[in-house]
Amino acid sequence: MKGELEMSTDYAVIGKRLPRVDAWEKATGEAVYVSDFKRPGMLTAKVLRSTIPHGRILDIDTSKAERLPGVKAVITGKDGPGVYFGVTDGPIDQLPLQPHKVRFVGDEIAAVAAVDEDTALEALSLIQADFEELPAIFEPEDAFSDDAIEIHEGKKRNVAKDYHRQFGDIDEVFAKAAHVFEDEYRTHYVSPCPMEPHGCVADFTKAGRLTIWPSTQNAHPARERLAKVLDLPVSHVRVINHHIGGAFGSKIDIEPLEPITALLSMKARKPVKLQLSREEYFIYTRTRHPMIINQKAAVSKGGKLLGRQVHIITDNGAYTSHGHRVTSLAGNTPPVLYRNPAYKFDAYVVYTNKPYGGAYQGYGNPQSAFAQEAHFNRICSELGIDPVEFRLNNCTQADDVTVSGAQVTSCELSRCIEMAAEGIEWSKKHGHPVLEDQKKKRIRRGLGMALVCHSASSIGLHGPVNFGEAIVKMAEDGSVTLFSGTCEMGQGLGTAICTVVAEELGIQLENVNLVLSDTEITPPDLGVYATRGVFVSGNAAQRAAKELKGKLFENTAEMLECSPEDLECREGYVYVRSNPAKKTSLSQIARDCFYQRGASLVGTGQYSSEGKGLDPVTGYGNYCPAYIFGAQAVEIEVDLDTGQVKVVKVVSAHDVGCLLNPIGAEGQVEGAISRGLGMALSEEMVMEDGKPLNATMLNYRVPTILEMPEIVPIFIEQEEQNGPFGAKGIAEPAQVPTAPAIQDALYDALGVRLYTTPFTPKKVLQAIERQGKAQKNGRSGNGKPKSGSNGNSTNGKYA
Amino acid sequence: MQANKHVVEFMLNGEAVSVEVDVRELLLHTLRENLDLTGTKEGCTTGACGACAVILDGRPVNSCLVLTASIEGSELQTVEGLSEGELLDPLQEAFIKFGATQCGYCIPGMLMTSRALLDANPNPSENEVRSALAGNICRCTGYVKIVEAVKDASKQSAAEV
Repeated sequence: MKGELEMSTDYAVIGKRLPRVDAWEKATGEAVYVSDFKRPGMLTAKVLRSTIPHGRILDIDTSKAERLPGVKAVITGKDGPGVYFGVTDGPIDQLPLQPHKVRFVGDEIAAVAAVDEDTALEALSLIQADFEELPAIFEPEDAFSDDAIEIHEGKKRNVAKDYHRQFGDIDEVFAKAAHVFEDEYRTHYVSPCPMEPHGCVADFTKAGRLTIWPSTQNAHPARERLAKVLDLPVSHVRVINHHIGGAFGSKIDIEPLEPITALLSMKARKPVKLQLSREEYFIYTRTRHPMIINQKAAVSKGGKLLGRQVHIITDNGAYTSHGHRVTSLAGNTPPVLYRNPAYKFDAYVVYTNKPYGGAYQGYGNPQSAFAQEAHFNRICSELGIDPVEFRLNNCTQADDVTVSGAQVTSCELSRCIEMAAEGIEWSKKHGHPVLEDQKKKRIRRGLGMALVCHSASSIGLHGPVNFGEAIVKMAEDGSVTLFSGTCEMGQGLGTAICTVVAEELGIQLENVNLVLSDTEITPPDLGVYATRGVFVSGNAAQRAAKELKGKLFENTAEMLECSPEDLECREGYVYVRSNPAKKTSLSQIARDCFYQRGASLVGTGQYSSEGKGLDPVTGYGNYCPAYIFGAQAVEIEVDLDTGQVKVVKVVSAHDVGCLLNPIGAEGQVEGAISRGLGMALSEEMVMEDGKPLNATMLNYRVPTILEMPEIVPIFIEQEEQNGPFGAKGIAEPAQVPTAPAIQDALYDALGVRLYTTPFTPKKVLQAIERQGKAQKNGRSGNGKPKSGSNGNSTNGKYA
Repeated sequence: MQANKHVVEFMLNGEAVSVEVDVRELLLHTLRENLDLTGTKEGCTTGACGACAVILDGRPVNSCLVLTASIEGSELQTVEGLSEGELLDPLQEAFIKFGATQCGYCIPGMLMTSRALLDANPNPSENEVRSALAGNICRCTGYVKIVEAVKDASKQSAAEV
């Protein structure tokens, strides 16, 4: 284990480098994913989509398709109850199939279920759809104008939702500050790109019951939404999760895919499978929202942060999905990193005729933190302050309450900063871009740093709660089964919550069986998002194990004639604490309970955070029970001739509370960094007239094994009072600071700053060229005016 | 349709099989749909992700780029043939031990490509491991633990040789 330990390490299971509970089936190919799943008599479904970015549907003629032998069901927007769906507190603007209008290239307009794929595809080709094309809007700035056509009727300036929040005396702070800086940053379309494209199997029986196997991270909320959209009683819908081949937020809840599959099955009265191809995945499922982010900061003479203003325009795409909440948290999460007395946040979530954004690891944080951290790094270079010093001087500390109402509990941010800086040899290498190696004369080295704060679960996605429940029951051999309504999408949550149960009951990890996400079997849990699994589902699992332990002790106390308070359990036995020779095995107790005493050995546990989240009007409030902090430092090498950026090393330090499983936590950090590298350097959905041009794995460049740098994960353990065994979680954070740290390293290497992601060789070369010209003209390397005393310093047009 | 059908015989995980396939059918789909061997995964169907990698006549290939009709008389190994009951391949043991699996979707392809590497080169350098796996995309792990696992398994394989 790397990093330092400050917590009790006498755990039997926690903190050990144990294999995942699902490793065996995944390493043998036995794990079953939705894409592997078949039902007897199952039909294959295909979807017909809009080929134009914006238009009215005049007519859809499906009669020829319906007559094709082998076709069992054809549906259009006229089928089904026509119930709109969407995410709590945002515009509810999605339908399974569009009956009247299409808003992006890919909008679902019809679907067929047939005996095989060839027949389904042929049926699609027989459907005649006529459109009246409407002018389309692709740029959010064009959409956000008074005379723009309304993509959704009644949405003036195409604003799906806007936010206006102000905390502290912003006007006075900015009027009096020694320095005011202003920059504009832009982030681009990236795709979560899990290895398994989304798919769904639905089976509607003649008795009117629907069983559905979707790719979803949130089975219980998915059932509630599906029941509404399909106008079925909730009790007639059963959602079962298989293994999920990666999600990263992209499978957070239902999208048109699941209700379409269900509607086809309801019409055909047969099981139906709808499996997206990779190309369909790229074009028709949800992306990370591009954002235009204006950052303004007031800073004292000595480099203290006095106030901030952030303005965001979110490119929502054609529908809202999570656009509003992503934008809201983009405003609230990154600022938790710094002590800042005044903060103003304005944001507009704007429709365009393009593929729409959704949830992707970080949920607004990667975009917003990129802008924030890059902005602060520029301020540091303008004021001649070391970025590490600036952060240590301004960063949040334990028990702080931020100006927007975030209640910080545990926080080891200062130590994260120090350890990341030390790990990357900041004091030795920063500011020394020229390498001694003669072979690297045309290479420049750069170091950069950025911070991350992320929620350990979040209040508000499904209303003002943050709820999960678990059941633990014991079997006759002393093993237990944990039932949790949460989901395993690869992140290792199953292993984490089994670890908590094993530790609580003093049994081995392999003696905890796991049943996840079957809405007829598992208790409700809102699922996995917002790095909530360890915190919420882990707390619920621990409480369920505690209740079971209480029952074990009550029964054992009668058997051993002692008090329950005198007992403890470890290594599969219940011991009398004062006399360890007096003990009885869990299997003995279980057999006794079931067959002699008639006593229950089932425990249930619930967790729900206190508090109501953000005030819907003011945006003030605390939206999660704990915050995870981290600092990431990178070393890069830039080729002056090609503009290629090679990331050599990443040191990523996080305060995780308690480290439940080091292998799992390292894996989360390493993977998140790979996705952060993708956003920073190589991944980009290239669009023309609203249509992605590079919707293949060959042309959408996720990092390969050849591009990965050395990664040093560091975990600082400081007990979090609200977490299970003091744990907070670590799924999302490490992706967030990757792009801004690389952006800052580019400045260290070259003296240039890039204001738009990704940092492609072309942009790097252009920046080098601009800098060369600027130096000839006697200007600073940033190619922009210097900050004056209380003068606005801006980056002008984005680079 | 019958005119487009073709009977193909080959060795699959050590056993002779005979399948009737459409001449257009991809080996990936024959394995998954026809033979119910779903360990081999479909990630892109354009040969760009490696999730469907299998070992064909000793070489790792993406089964989405192979027509089943073209493998008459070949020897094919899939992830299902890597273990024998509970007896796992050293690569599988190492992938479990080092935490190389997360969502697991890329793992069968990773294992088969790595197996082909170790069969040809029992003690590869880290660079050789990375080169061999350059066509296998993993979105979850950042590859760190996959490299560790293959290196560890290669030590064991080399020791056995």
